[in-house]
Amino acid sequence: MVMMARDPWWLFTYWDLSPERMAEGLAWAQGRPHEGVLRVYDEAGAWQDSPVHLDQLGHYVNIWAPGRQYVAEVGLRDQQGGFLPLLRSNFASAPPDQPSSDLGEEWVDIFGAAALWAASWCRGPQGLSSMDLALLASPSSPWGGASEHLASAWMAGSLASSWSSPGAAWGASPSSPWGAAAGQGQAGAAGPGRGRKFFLWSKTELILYGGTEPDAALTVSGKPVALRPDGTFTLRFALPDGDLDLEVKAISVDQAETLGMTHQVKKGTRR
Amino acid sequence: MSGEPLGYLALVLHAHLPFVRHPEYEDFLEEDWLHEAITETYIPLLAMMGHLEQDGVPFRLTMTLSPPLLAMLDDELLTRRYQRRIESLVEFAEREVERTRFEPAFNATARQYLERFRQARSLFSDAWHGRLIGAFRHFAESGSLEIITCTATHGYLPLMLRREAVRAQVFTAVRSHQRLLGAAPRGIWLAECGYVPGVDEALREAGLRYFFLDGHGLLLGHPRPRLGVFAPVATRAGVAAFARDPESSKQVWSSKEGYPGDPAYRDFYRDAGYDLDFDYVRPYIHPSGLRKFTGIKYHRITGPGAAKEPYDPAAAHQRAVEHAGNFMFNRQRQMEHLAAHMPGRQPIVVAPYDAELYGHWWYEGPEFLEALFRKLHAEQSQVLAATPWEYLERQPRLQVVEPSASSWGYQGYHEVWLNPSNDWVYRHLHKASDRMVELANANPDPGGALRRALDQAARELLLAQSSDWAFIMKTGTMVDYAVRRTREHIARFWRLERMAAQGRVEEPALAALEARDCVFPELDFRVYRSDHAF
Repeated sequence: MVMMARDPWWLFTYWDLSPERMAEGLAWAQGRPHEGVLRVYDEAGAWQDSPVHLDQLGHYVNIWAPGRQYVAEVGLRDQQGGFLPLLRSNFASAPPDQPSSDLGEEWVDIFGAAALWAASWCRGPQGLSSMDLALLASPSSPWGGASEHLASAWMAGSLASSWSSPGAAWGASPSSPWGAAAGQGQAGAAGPGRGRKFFLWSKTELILYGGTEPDAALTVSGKPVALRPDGTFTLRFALPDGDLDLEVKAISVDQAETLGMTHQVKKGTRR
Repeated sequence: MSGEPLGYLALVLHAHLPFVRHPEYEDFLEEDWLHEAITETYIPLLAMMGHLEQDGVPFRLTMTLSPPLLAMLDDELLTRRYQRRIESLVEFAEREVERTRFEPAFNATARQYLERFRQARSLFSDAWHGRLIGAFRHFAESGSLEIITCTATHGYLPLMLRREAVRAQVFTAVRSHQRLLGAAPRGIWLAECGYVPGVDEALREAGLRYFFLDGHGLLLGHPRPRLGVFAPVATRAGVAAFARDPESSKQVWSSKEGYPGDPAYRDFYRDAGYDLDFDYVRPYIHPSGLRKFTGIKYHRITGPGAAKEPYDPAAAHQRAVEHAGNFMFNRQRQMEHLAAHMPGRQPIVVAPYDAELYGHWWYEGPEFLEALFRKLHAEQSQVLAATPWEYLERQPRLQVVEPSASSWGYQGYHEVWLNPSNDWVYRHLHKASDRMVELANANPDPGGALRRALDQAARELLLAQSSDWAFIMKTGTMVDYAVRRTREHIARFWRLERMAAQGRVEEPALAALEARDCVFPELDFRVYRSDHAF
């Protein structure tokens, strides 16, 4: 059973109950009515129960006080209030939601911090402890019968847990926008009419094509055009409303001959 | 640095992309992330630094080059594919210049794309010989650019339970950085600014001297930091922690009040890949016929509605210069204000951004930065651009504060990476981490194929830990890919674990995994040992 602090007000815990452990629970209940319970304790000993299904994949717990350490047990509770813990989590530290009231100051030279560094290894339980205690605290290995449990959890994948997010709407987070970007683009950029329910857009383009001797010099309205090896060419223009003259001119490689023609295009749009 | 400014400004750009490399496909959609970032962000930023260097304008910029990004920039296959991509973009832009010939409102923009793509091609292929890392290194060696690292695969440390897993992310990052950039990093950008107490010890042990927090991570620290976010603190482990300044961040980040939302700037979403005739754009979209972003976009943001006006590159440039002036003005006022409250100490304002904001999202971002550095140099002396390291050298005396768990994600904590859309990944990541530590402890000095299998298992675990996957699951787009990557790496991890546990390494299967997930060739799985003997 593992617990993580999500923020100052919420914890997330998941567990994996082995069939053997479950059988112990049922033996304890001896047929009495009972329910699955997640019991969360804070460091001061206060606790709170939430009903859970013992086979659910995870649970979010709304906690009562930020800035404390929490530990959870999942187990069975009977109608008389008797409780049998089946698994215990690691400790998780919820961050504070208020500035520290401790105004004490200690200053060091960051380049002379070797002593400080050495001392930090001997630190008490507030530092690494929550990491280190992660697995020590479990009453039984949470991964008993691991491969089977893993497989079933795997198949269930991201199936819903018991909590629905109060703030699920994606805010303007400055975190790596790449994933969001690609997505918004796919959903949002379906053409110039995007953003409306029903839309229509249409545009015109003009294709000008032809051919001459492969070694001739070809211009369209004065601009040189590259010919394909067989002397043909294709140009494609956006065609706005208005009058357009396209003057096509070819000059032979010996410059002795010039041929030309002008396409006159008149384009308008009625709405 | 010269003179005595009122305070310092540290601009920090965090460049990262997840390791996406699919030799098994000729054209893989998600590889576009890298290609787009190279064309639209990394090359423009390098070009900007080149302009400043050429004109003798001193500047100071700090950039993360995340280990997966470095690995991809160093990769021969992806480099070759990028060359193909930029060739295709140049060809597309040439056709666009032709096509828009009778549309003057779009032709200038088409010409700008053609010019920029040609420049990108020439810089990438001719000037830097396909080695962007070398170009970044050049500016690092000149002292203008401080390159820092990130967690190895952008792993989100607050949700890793084991100290060994945190340590492996950090040490792997440092080693990879050292191999590819020739020097150990002095600082680290923790993925998503994600911090929990205890992480600082792994950083210190890996030789890292500073990292970054979001503002509240420091403000809620213990004891209360006297100078707020305007001076770094020393953690108990002796690492300096710099905090993000909310004010300067908002001016750039906010989609409503921020500069990038200006109506004159280029609209990101209207792209030729979606707007133009299918047959015509076909060669420049996905071979399957799926339309996609090409990077050629002709409209400006205009306003909130769907109707968009044509983009005017000259007007947009002018606006970027104005915004740079406004940003500088605000920092000057900020420094004056802070100086009055911080006697005897120069404040530092830390302004971190995702690098890909500049150029990719905010097309004019690199122009803004260039204008900002020019103005900071030429027009005033109150605000001096500095790297965090330079600041520490000048102001080494720091208050000792234990920062609070925090991130720069939505709501400031871990919710983006831990919510009902993605919480299922952690049981798998934790389980695999536990097993990896056991394997590392049980195999002090394996040889041959077993050693390789364990190294590869460590690579698969690290790749599965990329916070990008959980992030994508949360944002709800490209989810299939993120789920697939998580599952694949975890499945590969257990496959290798089985080989190692049974002492029967399937050589061809191992070789195939090594060739495919070829990140961190220098990785030694013993980085996961509990006794830190490695």
